[in-house]
Amino acid sequence: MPSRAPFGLRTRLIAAFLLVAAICAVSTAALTYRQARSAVLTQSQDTAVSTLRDQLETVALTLPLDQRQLQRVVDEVGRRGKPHPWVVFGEYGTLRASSADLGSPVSDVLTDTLRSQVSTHPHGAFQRVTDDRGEPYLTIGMPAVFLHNGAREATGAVLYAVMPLSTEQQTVDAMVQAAKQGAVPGLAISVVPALLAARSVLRPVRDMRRAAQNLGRGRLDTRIEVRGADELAGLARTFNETAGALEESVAELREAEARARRFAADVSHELRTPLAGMLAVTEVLDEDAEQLDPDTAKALRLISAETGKLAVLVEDLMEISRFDARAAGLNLDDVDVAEAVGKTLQRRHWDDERVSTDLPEGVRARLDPRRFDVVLANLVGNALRHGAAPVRIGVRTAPAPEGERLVVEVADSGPGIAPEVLPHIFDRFFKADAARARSAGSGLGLAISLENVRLHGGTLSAANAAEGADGFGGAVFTLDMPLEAAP
Amino acid sequence: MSLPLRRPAVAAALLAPLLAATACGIKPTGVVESGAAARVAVARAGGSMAYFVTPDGHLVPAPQPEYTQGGPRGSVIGLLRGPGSAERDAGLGTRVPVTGEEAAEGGVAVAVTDRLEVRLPFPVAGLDPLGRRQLVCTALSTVDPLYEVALRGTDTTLPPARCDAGH
Amino acid sequence: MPRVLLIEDDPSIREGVALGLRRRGHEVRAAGTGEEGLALTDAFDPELVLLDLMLPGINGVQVCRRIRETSLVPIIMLTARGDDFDIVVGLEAGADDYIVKPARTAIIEARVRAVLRRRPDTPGRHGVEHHGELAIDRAGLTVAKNGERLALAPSEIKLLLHLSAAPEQVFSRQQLLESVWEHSYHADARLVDACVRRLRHKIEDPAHGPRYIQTVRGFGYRFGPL
Repeated sequence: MPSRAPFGLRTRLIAAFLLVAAICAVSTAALTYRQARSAVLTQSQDTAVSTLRDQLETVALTLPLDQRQLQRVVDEVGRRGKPHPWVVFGEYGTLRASSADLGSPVSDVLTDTLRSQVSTHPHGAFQRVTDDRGEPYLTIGMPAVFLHNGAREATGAVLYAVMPLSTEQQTVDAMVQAAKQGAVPGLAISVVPALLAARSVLRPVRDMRRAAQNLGRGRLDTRIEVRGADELAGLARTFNETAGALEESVAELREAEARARRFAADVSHELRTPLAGMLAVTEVLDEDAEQLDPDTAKALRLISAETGKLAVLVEDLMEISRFDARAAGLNLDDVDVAEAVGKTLQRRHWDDERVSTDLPEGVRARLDPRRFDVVLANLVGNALRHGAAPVRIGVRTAPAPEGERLVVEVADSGPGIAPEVLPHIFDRFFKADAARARSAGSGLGLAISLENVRLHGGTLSAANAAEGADGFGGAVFTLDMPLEAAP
Repeated sequence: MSLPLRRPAVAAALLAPLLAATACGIKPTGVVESGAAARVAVARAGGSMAYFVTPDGHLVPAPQPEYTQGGPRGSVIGLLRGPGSAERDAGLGTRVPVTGEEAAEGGVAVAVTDRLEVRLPFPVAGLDPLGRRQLVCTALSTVDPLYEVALRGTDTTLPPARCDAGH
Repeated sequence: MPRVLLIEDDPSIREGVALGLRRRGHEVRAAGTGEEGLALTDAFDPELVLLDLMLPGINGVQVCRRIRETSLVPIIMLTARGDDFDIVVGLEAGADDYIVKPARTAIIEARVRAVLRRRPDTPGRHGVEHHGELAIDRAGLTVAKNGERLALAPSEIKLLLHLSAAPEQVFSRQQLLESVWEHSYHADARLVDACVRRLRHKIEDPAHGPRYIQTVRGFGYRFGPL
């Protein structure tokens, strides 16, 4: 659409409907009115002209006329006006006579055009005129002819009848009034079918919009009720088919993904039991290795160390699987944030000059302490491993419309994260440095951290700090979650 | 969808002539001819007629009972007498020289061949068209109007003409 | 050396854990099913039970309940992380602590020692204290209500002793986990909550609200004020 109408579909539909109704009403009324008006006038005019002719034909004239004879004729004809009383004027040469008792013997509404028409061309003629007050009159000119020498010949006498058309005027006015009174309520009444029609068109449109929104929100089983067999029903059917196809392919994709995840979970689960047994005896290997020959001892220590790593990896995989299966839940507790951060660092022996903290006192948060510890340990461990000391931890609270937020920033002093790596930093098993094929972590640390933060209803983001005056220009991970997590 | 609302000009174009055609009330008209004129009975309609001129320039017949038997010549003599008192009261005049009855009796002669030739005792070249029509119609008032009349004055003879008073 | 009864259906874990603990000087008897474990509880008279929650036949929670009917022996559950519901049910059934598998022997032994430590660290307090209807004997590690001795599991009496040593002082759950259970700070607060519920059930008057162990919303628990 080249231009967008400024009103809604409903308004436009109703307006269009009313416009059509108005055009129909007005044109019908107008044509009827025209027809009726012309019928009324023609009737009156024809009656008046033929009456004047008939009346005039009953008189006998003696030529040349004198004033008395002209007055007699005028009086006689003037009494018999039809369909309404008229005033008759007679003209012969310079003689003038009028049937009116008072006033001029010459009418002021007769036009010279009518006079010259009837005198040069002796036939009956009429003309509708208005006087200076706008009142309509019918003026009729009727020349008197006689049969002379086998031909009709003008006697020179002409009778003019002047008839007011006030009755016709009233009739016509009444018709206009009736048309107006009929059209306005008619238009008002046609609002009702207009609304109904708009509704019947708009309801499917509204349904469809709602369905499309639902579909967009992921409710793929959304369908529209198909009513009738019109274009909208066809559209609804197409929508349903499309939604069905979409649902099917999404279901297939999800099924495939779920299978893959179940497989990973199953594998981890199956690995866990033997690992539990192995892990319990690694110490035995470590202790006894000293009494064996160096090669065997080296082999045993390797097995012991790798078993430990494997156990961590399997645990992390299990953890991720639980997130994927949405089986992870929060065990919330009220904690002092500064204390919690301090304990995390202390437990991992990071409470030295490698990590500096900026912890406001007395900030209490409701969170899952174990998951918070996992997140923080991952972030700090990551900063120490891939960035460089000193690592700075900042904790603050921030007001937000839906409740206060807890913001934790972990910044390192390393070179930062390469821009092309940044979008993938939370991907599973993502290795920023291809050369470092195996790191100390499982490769799931940041992914698990992200999931843990999400579980708290928060966000975890990575960025590079601008090179500041304090020399910090490394990676900055920002954790932003509600101060009070919802269970 | 092409809603009329989107094309207000179209809608207006549709409505405007419609509304114009239905202007309210009774409008004046021009002169409309409507049927024949009224045919009245006129006394002595079959006799001799002299045609006089109304102030607005039309010919009006006036019976000449004294010359009913005189044929075309009598009629013309009647015309040359000029309008009588009744005619003058009605404002009728003549464009033909009034010679008086004696001069007319002596000076008017009618010859009938395939047409009427009316000899007149005055020059005819200077007659105005109304005057010529008066003479022609008066001459033909008792004879077949299909005759042509040639007016022959003291100076010249005018081309033959027919009376156009009757219809 | 402590006698430890290990009830675990998986042979590799059973043997691995038993081996590890034996090397550290524990006397270990292992059972593969709940029924066998219950029989050994009577015969072996263990000082501590390591109980796997996922057992064939009667499961770990039922075994825990059956042991608690007759004995106050410390019980540590062996669980996998994610078996959250089972952990809660096990704690409600009277278990004192739990260990998430897989775990190194050092971890398991630390838990065992912590549970077996009979006395919380409350210096300078001896003799019988009276708090309302409760008579707490810190030396004898017994608690009586209205003169009637109460049967409290090891974690329950340790919690009560710790809280009552400093009446009206508020302890957060994490603090209690550290001092009573000797867990790390970030451990599972449900251990505390379940233990408090069990303790209240035994010492509080059910007709009224908690009187001795009171909840301080947003912080934790305190003893009294009475």
